[in-house]
Parts: sequence; C-alpha cells; structure tokens
Amino acid sequence: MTNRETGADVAIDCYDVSLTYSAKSGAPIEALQRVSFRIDPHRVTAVIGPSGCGKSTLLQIIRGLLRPSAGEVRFVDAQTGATAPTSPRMATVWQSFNLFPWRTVGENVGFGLEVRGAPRNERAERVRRSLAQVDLAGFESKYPRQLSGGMRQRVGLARALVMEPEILLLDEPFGALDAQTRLVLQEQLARLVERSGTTAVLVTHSIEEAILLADTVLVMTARPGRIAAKINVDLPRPRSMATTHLSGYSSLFDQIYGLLRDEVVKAMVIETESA
Amino acid sequence: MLNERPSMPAAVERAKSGFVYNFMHKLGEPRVLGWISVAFVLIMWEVVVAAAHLNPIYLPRPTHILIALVKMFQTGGLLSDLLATLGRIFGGFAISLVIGTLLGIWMATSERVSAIADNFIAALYPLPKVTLIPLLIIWLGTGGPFMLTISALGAIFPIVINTVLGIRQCDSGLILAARDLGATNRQIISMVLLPSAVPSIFAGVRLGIGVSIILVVAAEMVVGKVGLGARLYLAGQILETEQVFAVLIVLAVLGVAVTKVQDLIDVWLSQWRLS
Repeated sequence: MTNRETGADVAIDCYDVSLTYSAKSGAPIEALQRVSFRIDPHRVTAVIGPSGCGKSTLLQIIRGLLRPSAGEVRFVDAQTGATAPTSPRMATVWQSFNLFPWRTVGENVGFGLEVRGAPRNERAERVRRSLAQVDLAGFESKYPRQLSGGMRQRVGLARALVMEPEILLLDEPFGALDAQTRLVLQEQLARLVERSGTTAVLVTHSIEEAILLADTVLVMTARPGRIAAKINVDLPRPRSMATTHLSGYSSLFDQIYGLLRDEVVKAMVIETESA
Repeated sequence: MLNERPSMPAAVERAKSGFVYNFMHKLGEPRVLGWISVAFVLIMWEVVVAAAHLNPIYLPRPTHILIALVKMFQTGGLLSDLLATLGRIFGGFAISLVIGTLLGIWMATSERVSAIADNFIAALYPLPKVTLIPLLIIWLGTGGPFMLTISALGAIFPIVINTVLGIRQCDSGLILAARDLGATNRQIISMVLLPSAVPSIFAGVRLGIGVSIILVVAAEMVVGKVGLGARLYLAGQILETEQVFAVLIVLAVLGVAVTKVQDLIDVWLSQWRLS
C-alpha cells in the first residue's frame, strides 16, 4: 500500500543488523549477525530458516519493538532512496494469535483504532469491514475462546488489516494451526495480499508456504542468523495448491530445501549443545 | 398390586412414578440431604433442650433464638448495628482495593518500587492484624478512622500481592500485540495489564474481605459501641445467650451472602480466561 500522506512507495532497508543478547547464564548469544537486505514495496517477502535463527526477532526489529545491537532498519522511498519522513504504518499477525481474551472479537479488532482515539462510529464501521474481509462478518460480539484456531487467526489478521498497514508483518501466522486449516488460510491470505497490494514480510518454517505466498524468499542460516540466499519466486499468480504441481515449483522447493537442510542440521547441533 | 402380579419392569415403572419413590429419591440428592440434615439438627436441638429443661443461659431453644432475633431487628436497633458493621467492612475494603491495586500496578511495573515495598510487605503480611488493634487505638482513637484502617489493613495485603502476581503473569505476547497496535505505556497498563490481572486481583479480594470481616468484628468487640461485634460482646456480658446466638446467625448469613456474591462475580470473570 502506498503511503497515503506522501504518495511514496516505501521499501525496507536492513543495514548490517546484529542482535546479541545475554542468556540466563550470562553468556552472550548472537542471534543475528550483520543481516542486510532490501524488501521491495508491494511485494511479499518470505523469511525462512531453521528454528532459533532469529527470524521472528528480525520481524520485531523491523517493527521497532526490539532495538538491534548494531546496524539499523531504514524505511526509504523506493524510487529516490531518500529516508521516509515518517515511519510507515505497520501491523503484525502473531503465531500465537495474541488476542485479548477479555475483549470480544469486535473489541479485539478495534483495539488499534481505540488506542489512537478513533471515534466509536468510525471504529465500528472499519471493524465491520475488516471482519468481512476475513469472512467473519457478524462475529463482533463473540469472545476469542468461542472460536476455533483458524477463526482466531482470521481475527488476528482482521486486527492487523483494520490498521490499513503499508507493511504487514506475519510471524509464522499459521504455525499453530492444523494442516488443512493452514492450506485454506494460505490461499485466503494470498488473495488478500494480492488485492490490497500491501508490502508483506512473512516469517515461516514452511517452504511450501513461502513459495505459495512470496515474491522473494530470504533463506537464513542457523544461529547466528545471516542471509544465506535471496530467491525470486516467478510462478504465476493467483497461486493455489495447483501451483505445487508446476515444474517450476519443485525446482524452487529443491533449491530452498537444499539450502535449508544443512542449516537445520547445524541448528539441531546448537540446540543439543545448549540443552 | 401384589395380587395383580405385574411383570417386573412394569412394577419398577409404577414404583418410580410413585410419590414415596420420588420422595426417597429426592432425599438422596446431595443438596436436599444437606438442608435436611440442618433441619434435623435444629429439631433435635429444640426437642432435647425442651425435654431436658436445660438452663437457657447455656443453651437456648432455636425458636427462642429466632424470636430474639426478630425482636432485636424490630425494636433493638440490630439493623443499625448491621449497617455500621457493613459500612466499616466495605468502606475499609474499598480503600484497600483502590490503594492495593494502584500499589500493585506500581510494584509490578517498577523494579525499584517493588524492591522498596517488598521488605515492608514481607514483614507486615504474616503479622496477625488483630495485634495491631492496640497500637491503632493509641494512634487513631476508637472512632471511624480506626475502624476503616483496621478493615483496610485486613484486605490490602492479599490485594497488593495478587495484583503484582496477576500483572507479572500477563502473557508477554499480549503486551507485544498492544505495542504493535500503537498502545502507549499507560494504555498498556490500563487496557492490557490490569484487565489480564483481574482474575488474580479478585482472588486477592476474596481472601481480603474474609480478613476484613474478622478484623472489624474483633475491633468492635474490643472498643465498639455500635456494630455486630459490640452487640455480641454486650449480650455475652449480660448473659443474654439468645441474643448472642442471634448475632452469630446474622454474622453467618453475612458470610454466606458475601460468598454467594463472590461466586457470581467468579462466573462473570470466566470470560477473562481463554479456553
């Protein structure tokens, strides 16, 4: 989505981002090591890597919820390369949904508007539209505990979309769902993102998900996380499960799997040593 | 019935619909059984005391206690005693709810405040609060301020401790989600931390009100001129055993009423819990 105020297309530039934190024992742990990349506007970029490689951490750094130990994230005008005057609107969808259990679905989706002081009428209207986008029209007064996992995550998605984000951050959004729900939601998300033209960063464990949703896949190494490769996905859209039968799909899958396999083994060794 | 020699199932069927069967069946229900045993004890009490001509100074008959109770309400001013006691309990409780919750929030969100308050709480919490009555009388006299203070002292510690506990147990994912949606620190406290701590705070309230009731009645027994405790003590002094029992009944009913209201609030609070 283009910046409403400036009309500029905002790209995300990560320069040499490193993050080191101290473990409980006091020993420093290097989560991210000099990570640099550019995320283009109106594109879906998937970040894939073994567990513990710092990909979710990277997302929080982009969002500004975590400060990197070194390096920086810049939001720049994609045409001119100038730093954007204001930071873009961003919203995150979380693996564990992070819905407020004491708030109804409507109150959850309206949370971001409420803290910004949007008037009640406007809030209700935007919440209604946002819930309709994820096929949950009329669910305003339900509580999250009354919904299935897949429905909860659609509420999570509506809560992010209602903010009309220029950049949508997806932190393993389907990681906590069963395989079938996941397939259906992947397709829905693909359509939503294609339609809105928003810039999206998707952190995932799933190669299939990365290929089906993304224009670009960033493959990360085991800890300390670095970018191992940047792969363009030039499969036709709209994509669906049928896409997985294309020959282009399997060669991409093999390429990413080949890169990931060694890193996953390394991550397992790290986990064993630190356990 | 026996002459007709009906088949067994038919006999069982008829017996099941019979009055005696129904009655016996209802007797076996736990709730009914509970009330019947109360009635049984009261009747036995009445019969034994009447038959044995026991001195009513030691053990008055339940019917006489009931008559004394009604008289005390009609002409003896027991209602104003009850209202005085209720005012002290809930007045002090309201003070401790406000101060306790605020202090709890402050402690949970500031390590320094927590470090300062921790030792004082650790010293005062296990102290039986009745032992503070003499000191408080020296400082405050025996009037309203003393009664409100002793009542508040009873409830404040469980409320503070449970508020801190509830806020510290708040899912960090919810805080991240709120921050992502643009909430300020103040909004995170009022819209995330506090609501998520409500069940825990209420658990503290449950403990606190019980202690407040004990302390107010005890304080009234020591120094009160009005109030249920004062009435109880006075009746005991002049050997009005029927009135002693009457006040005990009022106190028991008060305890049951408070418990029932808390159960209702508990049901309402269940919406706070995510299944």
